[in-house]
Amino acid sequence: MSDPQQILADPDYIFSRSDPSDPYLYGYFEGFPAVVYTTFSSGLTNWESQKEENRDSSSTKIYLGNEQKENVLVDRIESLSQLEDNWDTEGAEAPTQQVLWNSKIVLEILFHLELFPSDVVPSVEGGVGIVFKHGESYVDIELFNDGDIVITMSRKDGNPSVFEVENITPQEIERVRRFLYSRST
Amino acid sequence: MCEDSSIPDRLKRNGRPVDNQFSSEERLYRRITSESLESDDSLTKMAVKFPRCSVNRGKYCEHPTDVLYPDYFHLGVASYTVGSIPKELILEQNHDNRRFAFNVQHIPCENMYPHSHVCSGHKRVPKSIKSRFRILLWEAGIQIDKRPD
Repeated sequence: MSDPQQILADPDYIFSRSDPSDPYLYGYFEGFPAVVYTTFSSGLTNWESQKEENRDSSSTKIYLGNEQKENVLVDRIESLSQLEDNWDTEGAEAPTQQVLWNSKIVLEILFHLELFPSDVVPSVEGGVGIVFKHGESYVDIELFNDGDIVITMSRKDGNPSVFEVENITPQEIERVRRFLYSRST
Repeated sequence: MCEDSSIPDRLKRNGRPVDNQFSSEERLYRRITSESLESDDSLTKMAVKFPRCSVNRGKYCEHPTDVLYPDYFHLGVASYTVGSIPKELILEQNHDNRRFAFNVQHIPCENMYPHSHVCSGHKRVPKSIKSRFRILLWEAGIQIDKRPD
């Protein structure tokens, strides 16, 4: 069983790993001298990095922070179910129940893989956008009402990467993570 | 949007002609709702509508909130310049290298002379082109002129 599959089957699996050199857990944070954990401090988009030596003293805080963040994002999806067609006054379709359901599943996969979006928003093109921001790096996963899924990645250099995918898999999520946390060249 | 007597005369067409001369600095105004803002209060790219997108052109507006007539004054206003609209995007997908051009057209209404469309000449546009258009326009800088109430 691969690591992403293991994590999906057992969310606690990610916390049972203890080898800081493990490339699966730590390989995405290139350039950092030590293991880095992202922690939720305050506010939905206010994240900070924390070195491993600080982990024990704040592990409870990390857990609660992530749980709070998960709740906020799930609540955002719930709130989108209240939208009606023409919610933008310019004819935008409200997200369908199917796309809201699919968005929740994607969020669950993201939570299990410890990659937290900065927000979940409705799209004026009809659907839901799951948005990630890290420094100058920007990614969104847009789930359209017609079932299409488009991932957009950009570093604000005028040369974005845009690609359609059939499904959101752990591999696609790792691609997003690598883009967000790798150093731009 | 364009059929209300409460709209000021200055915004009504009153026989004025179509004017398709746009300078690159001219601002284009669009309504935004509270859902257009992310939790950090920034405008989301998801609020950028792919052509055809209705806007009010700045040349014939006195104030950004002119786009809120007749009864949308609880909403916000965002704007960008004509020059920030991508001029052309190439599909670059397998052997399909179609080019998609974009422009602004003045489409005046009787009760809203500044009304215009940002549009593409193609009826069907691949989602990858749509998304590239939206991210490039968003990153070029969309200004929030008035926040939604």
